[in-house]
Amino acid sequence: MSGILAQYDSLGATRQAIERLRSEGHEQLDVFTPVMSPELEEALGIESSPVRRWALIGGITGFVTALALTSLTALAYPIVTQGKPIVSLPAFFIIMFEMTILFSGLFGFAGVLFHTRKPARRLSPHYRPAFSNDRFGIFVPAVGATEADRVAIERLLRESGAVEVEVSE
Amino acid sequence: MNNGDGSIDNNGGTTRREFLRVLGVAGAGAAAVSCGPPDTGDRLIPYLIPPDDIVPGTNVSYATVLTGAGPEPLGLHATVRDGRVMKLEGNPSFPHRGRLSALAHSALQDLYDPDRIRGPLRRDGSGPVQAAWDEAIAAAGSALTGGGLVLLTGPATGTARRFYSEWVAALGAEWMAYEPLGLEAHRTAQRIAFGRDEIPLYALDEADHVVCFGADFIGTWLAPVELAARYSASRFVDRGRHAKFTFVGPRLSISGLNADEWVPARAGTETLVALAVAHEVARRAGGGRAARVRAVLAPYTPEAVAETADVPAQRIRALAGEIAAARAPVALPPGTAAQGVTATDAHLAVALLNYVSGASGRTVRFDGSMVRGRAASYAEMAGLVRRMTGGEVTTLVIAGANPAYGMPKASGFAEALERVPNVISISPHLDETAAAAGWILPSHHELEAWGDAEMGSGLRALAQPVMRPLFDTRQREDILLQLAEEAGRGNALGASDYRSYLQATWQELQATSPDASRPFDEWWREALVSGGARITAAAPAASSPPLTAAAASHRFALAEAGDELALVTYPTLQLYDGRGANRSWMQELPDAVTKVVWNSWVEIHPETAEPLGLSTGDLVEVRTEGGSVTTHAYLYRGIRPDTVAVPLGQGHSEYGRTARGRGVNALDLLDGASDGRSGALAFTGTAVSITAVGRRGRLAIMQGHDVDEDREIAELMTAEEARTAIAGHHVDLSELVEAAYDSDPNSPYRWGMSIDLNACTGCGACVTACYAENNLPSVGEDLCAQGREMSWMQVMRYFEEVEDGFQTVNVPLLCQQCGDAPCEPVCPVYAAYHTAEGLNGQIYNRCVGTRYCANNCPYKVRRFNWFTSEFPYPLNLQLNPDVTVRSKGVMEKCTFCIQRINRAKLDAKAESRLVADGEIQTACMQSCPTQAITFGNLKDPTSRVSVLARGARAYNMLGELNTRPAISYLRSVTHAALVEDDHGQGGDGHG
Amino acid sequence: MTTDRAAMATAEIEVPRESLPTLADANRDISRPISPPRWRYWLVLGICAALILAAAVAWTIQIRRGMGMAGINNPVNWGVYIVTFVFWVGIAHSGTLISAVLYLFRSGWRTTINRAAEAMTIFAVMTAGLFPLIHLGRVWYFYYLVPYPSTRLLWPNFRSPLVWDMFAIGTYFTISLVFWYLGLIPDLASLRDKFTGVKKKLYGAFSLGWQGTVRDWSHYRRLYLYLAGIATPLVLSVHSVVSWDFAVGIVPGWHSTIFAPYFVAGAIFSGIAMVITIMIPLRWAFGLEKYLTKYHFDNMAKLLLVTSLIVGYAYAMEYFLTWYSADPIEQESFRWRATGYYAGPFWIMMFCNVVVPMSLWFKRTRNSLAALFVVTIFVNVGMWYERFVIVVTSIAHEFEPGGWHVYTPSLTEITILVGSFAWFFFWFLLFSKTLPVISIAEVKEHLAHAHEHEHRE
Repeated sequence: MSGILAQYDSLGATRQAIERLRSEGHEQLDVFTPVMSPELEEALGIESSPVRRWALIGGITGFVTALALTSLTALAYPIVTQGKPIVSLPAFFIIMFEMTILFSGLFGFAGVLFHTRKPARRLSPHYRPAFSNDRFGIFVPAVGATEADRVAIERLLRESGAVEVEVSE
Repeated sequence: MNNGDGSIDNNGGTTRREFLRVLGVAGAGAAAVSCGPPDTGDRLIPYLIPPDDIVPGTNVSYATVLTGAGPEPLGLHATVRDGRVMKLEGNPSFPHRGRLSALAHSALQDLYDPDRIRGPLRRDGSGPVQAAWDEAIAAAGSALTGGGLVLLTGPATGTARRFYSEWVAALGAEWMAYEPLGLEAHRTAQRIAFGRDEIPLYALDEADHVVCFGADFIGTWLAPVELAARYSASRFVDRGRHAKFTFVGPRLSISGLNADEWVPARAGTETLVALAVAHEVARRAGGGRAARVRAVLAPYTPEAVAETADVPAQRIRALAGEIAAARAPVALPPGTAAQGVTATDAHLAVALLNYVSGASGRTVRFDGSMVRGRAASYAEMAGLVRRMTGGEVTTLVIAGANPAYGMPKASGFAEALERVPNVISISPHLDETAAAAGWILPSHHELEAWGDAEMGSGLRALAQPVMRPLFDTRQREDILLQLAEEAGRGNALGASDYRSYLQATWQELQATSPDASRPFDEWWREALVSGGARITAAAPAASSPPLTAAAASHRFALAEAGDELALVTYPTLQLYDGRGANRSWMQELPDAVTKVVWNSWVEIHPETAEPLGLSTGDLVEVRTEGGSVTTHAYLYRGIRPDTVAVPLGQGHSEYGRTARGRGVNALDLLDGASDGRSGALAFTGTAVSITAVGRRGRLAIMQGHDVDEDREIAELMTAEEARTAIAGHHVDLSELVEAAYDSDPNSPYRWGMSIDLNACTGCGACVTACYAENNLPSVGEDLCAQGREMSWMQVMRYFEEVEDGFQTVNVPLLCQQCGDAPCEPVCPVYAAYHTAEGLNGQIYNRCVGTRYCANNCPYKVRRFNWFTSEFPYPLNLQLNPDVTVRSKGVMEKCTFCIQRINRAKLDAKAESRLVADGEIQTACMQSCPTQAITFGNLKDPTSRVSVLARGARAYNMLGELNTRPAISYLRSVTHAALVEDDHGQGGDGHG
Repeated sequence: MTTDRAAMATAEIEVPRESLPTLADANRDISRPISPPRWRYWLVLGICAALILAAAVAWTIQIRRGMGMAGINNPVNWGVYIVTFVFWVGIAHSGTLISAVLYLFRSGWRTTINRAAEAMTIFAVMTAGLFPLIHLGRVWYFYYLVPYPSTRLLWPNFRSPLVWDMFAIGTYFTISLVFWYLGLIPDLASLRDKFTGVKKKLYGAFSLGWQGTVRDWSHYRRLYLYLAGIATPLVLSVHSVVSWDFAVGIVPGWHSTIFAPYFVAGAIFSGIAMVITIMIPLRWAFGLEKYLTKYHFDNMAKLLLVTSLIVGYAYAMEYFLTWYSADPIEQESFRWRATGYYAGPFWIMMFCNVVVPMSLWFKRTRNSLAALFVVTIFVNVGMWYERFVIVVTSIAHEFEPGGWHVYTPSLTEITILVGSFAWFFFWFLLFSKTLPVISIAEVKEHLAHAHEHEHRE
């Protein structure tokens, strides 16, 4: 899918560019950044990630699994030690705690992979190696846009401080 | 099967068939023969046609008797499984009441000794070389004809005695019985005092006051198992008895440690103290006896002896007062432990004391119940040595004795032996004497042989082979017969082999026995099954022979007390005269006094050690006129500052891998001085000097700390406290002891144990019994020193401070089978868990070896297998098939002999009943000479153990931890006055 | 938000504004060490390998002959192995603490050390994890501890603290790994874009095709925050559980309720010390002066001082409680600990952990890397001895006086102890030449904001 890819060398410029593009009605932006930046998320109006729900579900799963593992195995082959009850919950709780954390962590990671479609074999055609180094990138899709539109976008991008603007197929 | 078969078939006429028949008669006898020990133990060959009387996996028990395990003959039930003996238990029909000493248990290791001689040997220049029996008998036999023949054996009673005397008569030889720890001084003293040439019985169980002038009657003297039992009977506090026990002497032996009071008389002055006490008693007592001895005792006033003996006069008076006041006092003689150059007079002095105190005839009786084989005194042996050196002895046959080790260097026996042209040794072991012999004819072990022994009071025990001989050996007497035959005097004894000789003798005995009327075969069979027979009517009533005039006017020889250190050399109950030294069980049994294993030491009082800068473990050179040895110092508060003591039994140059080159031989220190009257070797009184070598040695001591820090471990209470506590205590038979609830509610059992610390003497028989029953490995000195011993049971010896001095509480320590066991929950794999019957189970094949359980055990009774233990053939034949042999990396511990519990439960189930009280005996309980241990079911409110557990003296070890142990200890009771804090401890009742 | 971050960034990187490194600089500088090593590196690596081999041989012999090759005995059934196990678990605590806790506290100075610290955590756990196996009497049956449906129908005993350990440490390792790897992904991406050929392929594969779109970053940021959130209680739980190995036992000197906080403080203490010990040579070797500055070491030194005070307080508390308990057995244990056979280790511990760190009150000590290095070495030694004192002196001298016995480590144990350090540094060396020892992405994040800040003015 073709469009216009602009590279920036500063966070601020990128951010302003995004704001202006969105005000011009360009919502479908692909923004690349070498650093984590809540500001850009803000600018793009990205709502907070659903990953935490994954973690929550993971945590609950872990807790229940541990409860089942400890109690049911103890009941399956009941052996008394030091006159303690077969299901010694206080002792078993430690296992439950650990497995809660284990599962929620792993689920969370799975969540990220899922939502970010990772691992990905191929990179996006609009990605440039510089984006992992010191460049920020904004790709504005211009499918079926007229020549005039393209020019307008390019100008807008340059004005907002793009150091490099190209047409990316 | 080269070993067993051959030895039987050409066994001087005992053919396999006869052998079979006789054993068959003995009941399931074929078991012992038709299924001998496997050659290597690594092959399992099923029977083609199984014998009818062998049920695989079940034990057969044979009655026999052991004469070589300490000073007293011990009747046995030998437990045999598939043709090999695994365990020895006492035969209750004899005076030792079916109890055994540690040394007796270790007879198994003597039988299965890997170093035993496996066939006849001839010594040429290079050393012993294999020989054939015929060749050996021929060569050795021919040497007998030349005259100058001496037969040297151990002391013998019964048929053996007759056999030897007839043998020497037939060959015109001379017979000498050699016993390093003989009773000759005692015997002589009795002859002088009462004209009775025998050993009296000391009926401690009837006494209410016991004074001991040194005899180690609990460990090594006269009849330790029987006397210990009698002694503890005199202190059954629960039955209102508690005889006071005072020990007089320079060093506290295991017997001394059991005493309520210690009168530390200077070494060699026991005579004086005894005389002074007798003097005082005579003064108070009055009456005919007093009058009779007043003259001879006149010079020995307490004041007169106080200085020499270093005992305050009032102390002697007090002692005399107690004896005079006592209803049935008894005084024990010095025995071997205090045997000096005036030994006879010391024994005589004690005899006088017993006479004047009225003990003679009451608690000290000549009722023929103490029969001991006569032995040549050291003086006579010295005479033999002279004759050997003088070339008068051309042939010396040594059967079952080891004088080359037992005679002090100073005697020059070893050198003299080299001078004798023909030395023939008949012994199961290649000991110092055998090694010096020209011909070595290996004899059966006692457990493989026929024989009998006089058990006293007209009882005679019969010894039969309990299993087929392990090696190419022969019955000792058969060898002698064959030699005689070779020498052309075979028919003189009227028997071709000893078994028939024995049977013939018994036929004669029956004629005079109460059962004269019965058919012999039946009587003999019964004797074989029951272990013996009564051959004379019951012993005569206690006679009190009059004091001889000689005694009444005896001039006592007194040892002059020098101002240098005095030496005491004494036998230990584990090595005895050294015969225990090649048995790893005995080397690893902690000494009752010092808790040292696998080594020698010299006991020094801290005050004496302090100026020399010595501490326990430092090397010390001990020097006397006779010689010197270098060994480890052991600081011991139970010895006088002017005395040092070295144990006997170590320092072998031969005898086997375990004994050789271990420790030092204390006999090297003796100058060969002997008692003037009896000729007995003087073990004590030698002047000695000690110098620090300046190096530390390694001494493996199996107890980390000597006091229990008032932690409710070793509890002591006074006799008064005990009396009031017991009087005010009522056991409600309707309710259970708390620990009874710590098993599955549906199980009828909660196994428990009670250990009476007042009865425990610390002899360690239980420990060795446990080794035998549960396949415990002996790990050797290195590992012991590192704290890696494997004993499931230890006897901790704790000192409790009391007014003037200390008391000893011996605490048998084994797994407490806690109801609330800290070891169980920490095991990640359930290897440690609680069984339905309340035991702490330990699943060996589940254990991964985290050792957390051992860390969490407050009693420190769990043992970890740091390595895989070795049981070199034939020791592996002794292993109990009912008990797993553990491998490296596994935790193990006592489980109340669970294999015995299970067997009893199976029997009960077969008869659809519950296990009865007393039906199960754990190995330790079975062995205990003083019956300190009781095992049983705590859920049965009337079982002995459950009653004891609720008794007035009962408490749980470390009770404050609330581990709810299944073992309840019963407080030890003393006549000494406790110091305050102990008092508080002793007072608060737990049970 | 932006401004104070910027302020922080500039504050951290104490260099004049105008010469503030660009993002490209950061990329270049931090990934420079990832290049073919010189002979010195190979030498050190070789030594480590040799020591590991020696330890492996020692262990093999121990397995063949039996645990007796170690010096332990009855009653001292646990020795150097367990001591070293606890030591390494302790070391493992700095990493996640710095990454997670400091992240939550928004203390930005963590940025330049968290990567190395987390790596340390992982390698320390890998080291610690070996010891429970090494100390096992029958290691070939270690799987009896693992809950799996076996033909014996028997499962592990979840009441046993040793099983808790397995779960706690397993979880800790996994979560730390995930946390570390998550942080690595953007850096792996920039390495992918830096290199060519095989390296590109490898880093590419591990970067999972990361291309840093804002949307991806938003998920990433969420999880990072979340992991920081759950890792924090995890850090606290792990050493608490380890401490319960002892506190659950009835052994006087072990059976104490203060053990959990006491152990956690000790762990953080030792962890920070180890971080500093490693960071100082690293900074010098890789020329990271511009990013690892006095400011960071000063902060870590302060953290070290604080934890040292906590640890010292715990020691004091142990003795106070013992006195207050009025339990003679407990009191005897602690008397013996300070005056008995093991008084040496005890006072070494006191000196190294309580006395020496007090020098950190002085700014001069905190700012002299040499001094700091020496102090942390003392702390490392001291903390090993602390565990020795706790484990060994307690069981050597407990309830049954007749059973008292002391213990001295054997050659086998020492070899394996040394080997464990070699093993740890072996992995760290590999890491230091293959992955950025400082988080490039996070440094760039700060720089980006810093530049932003510049433009504003």
